[in-house]
Amino acid sequence: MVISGVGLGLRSAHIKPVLELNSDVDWFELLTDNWLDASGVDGLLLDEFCKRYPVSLHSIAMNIAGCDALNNDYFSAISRLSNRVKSTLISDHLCFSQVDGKPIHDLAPIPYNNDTLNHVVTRILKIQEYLKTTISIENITAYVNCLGSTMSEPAFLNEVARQTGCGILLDINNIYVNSKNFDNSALNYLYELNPLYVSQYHLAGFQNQGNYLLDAHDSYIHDDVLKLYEAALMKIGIKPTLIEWDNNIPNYQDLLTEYERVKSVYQQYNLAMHHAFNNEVTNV
Amino acid sequence: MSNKSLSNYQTEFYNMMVNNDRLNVADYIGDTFTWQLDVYQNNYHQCLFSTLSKTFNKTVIYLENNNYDIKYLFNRYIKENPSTESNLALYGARFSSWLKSIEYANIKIRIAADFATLDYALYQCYYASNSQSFLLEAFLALNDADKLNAKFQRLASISLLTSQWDLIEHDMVSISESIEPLEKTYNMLYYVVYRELGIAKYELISNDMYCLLSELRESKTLLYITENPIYNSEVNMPKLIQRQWVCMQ
Repeated sequence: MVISGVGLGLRSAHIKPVLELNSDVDWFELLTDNWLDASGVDGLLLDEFCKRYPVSLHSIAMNIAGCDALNNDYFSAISRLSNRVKSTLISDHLCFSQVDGKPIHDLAPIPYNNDTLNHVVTRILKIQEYLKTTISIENITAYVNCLGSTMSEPAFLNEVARQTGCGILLDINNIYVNSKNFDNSALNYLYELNPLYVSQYHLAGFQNQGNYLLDAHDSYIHDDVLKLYEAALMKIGIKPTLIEWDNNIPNYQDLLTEYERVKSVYQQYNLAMHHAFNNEVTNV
Repeated sequence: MSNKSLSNYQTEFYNMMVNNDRLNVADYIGDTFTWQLDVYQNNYHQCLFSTLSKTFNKTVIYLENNNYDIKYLFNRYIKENPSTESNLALYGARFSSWLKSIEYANIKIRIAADFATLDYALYQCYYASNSQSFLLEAFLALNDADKLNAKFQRLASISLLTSQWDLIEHDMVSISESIEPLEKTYNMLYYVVYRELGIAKYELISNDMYCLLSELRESKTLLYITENPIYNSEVNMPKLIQRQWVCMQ
């Protein structure tokens, strides 16, 4: 099933409420690593869930920019899951997450330069060949800058997408958090990206720690992030949009309130785009 | 940055996150504020800490009721046992044996270690793959010779453990938050962990049922099972079939 509109990151606590309410959500994102070879009650729920909703798969352990050999068992498991849930979108992050076979359970930044670009491109091409589909890669929150960088993150992402055909999963909250922590322009970031490569948006809440922002995924989307999202809708265009909420998970009704807030923004721009398109056609 | 230097950078980043070695990574990321590296170290630590908290809930209740500092124990375990599996559900596999090895492993810690074995088994049981349950009709349709050659194996969700303590009684005492734990020891008590209607459970079993289920970790013919009196198969096989703890290969 094709992904469009606004989706929610599915968390275990919400599966039953979603199914019971027959919730009117456009699509859901599954955290791949939590559902690989799901069985037991979880497996049954998953199968029921995917009959009703389109889903995308979001991974954290492809280790796209890592130096370890790609883990074919992991990609086989993703393939099996993708076939099972009929996912049309598979994504992971532009980062490394494992070193010498040992996981760091986090997303660590890489330097943006030609050597790393070649390394990442080679690995994404292999992953896509293995999965027999293109993937999308997400910009991460980074709390350090690598000294070896010679290009900006959006320029790097553009080039990776151009050379591999992969999409860019644009996390608006991550752009905002990085821009505040490193005093960059979030708008310039958006303007530097090639809109053709962007496949999806992510939105989430951050924590203000006083001297820095933490990408915590534990609260409502900040108004400034939502404004940046609007800027992305205008500059880059309408793309499937996902709300992530991973910690201090609210009850499902509260999450739906947040969903409606984002959905109204999405629909407003979606309608505006349709009107603009229709006017253009009429004028022709 | 060449691939070799990218690899060196990632190694130093790992050493910073996991081993708190902040010196060498500076060659790759320059000078940083303390909070910048703290974020990564906290993320790693918090991820493992919350996994342990989720997995070992009976152990946590037991230790807290007996005035042990579970945070200290988890923190120390994490420091001494870096994660080796990207599947977080597998983290904590050594927690039970680690508890037994700590320098003040008295009787309460040893009971806690058995709870840790139980907690880990319950956690794995919940996520274990589905196996086809035993189909009685298919078995009954076989002729006598084929019945004897039919192979049985226990389900992937079944696991076994032993303890010198009555964990069920301790479990109930823990839940009621009694401050008087029972420390009566037995020669050995045998437990099975199983999944019923999606819930991981455990219960006491007899020694011969324990031996039979241990044997059925790998598939065995009915003939093999019935020929060995230690398994008390006349009593135990119908029970295994009725509880749907075995499947036929």
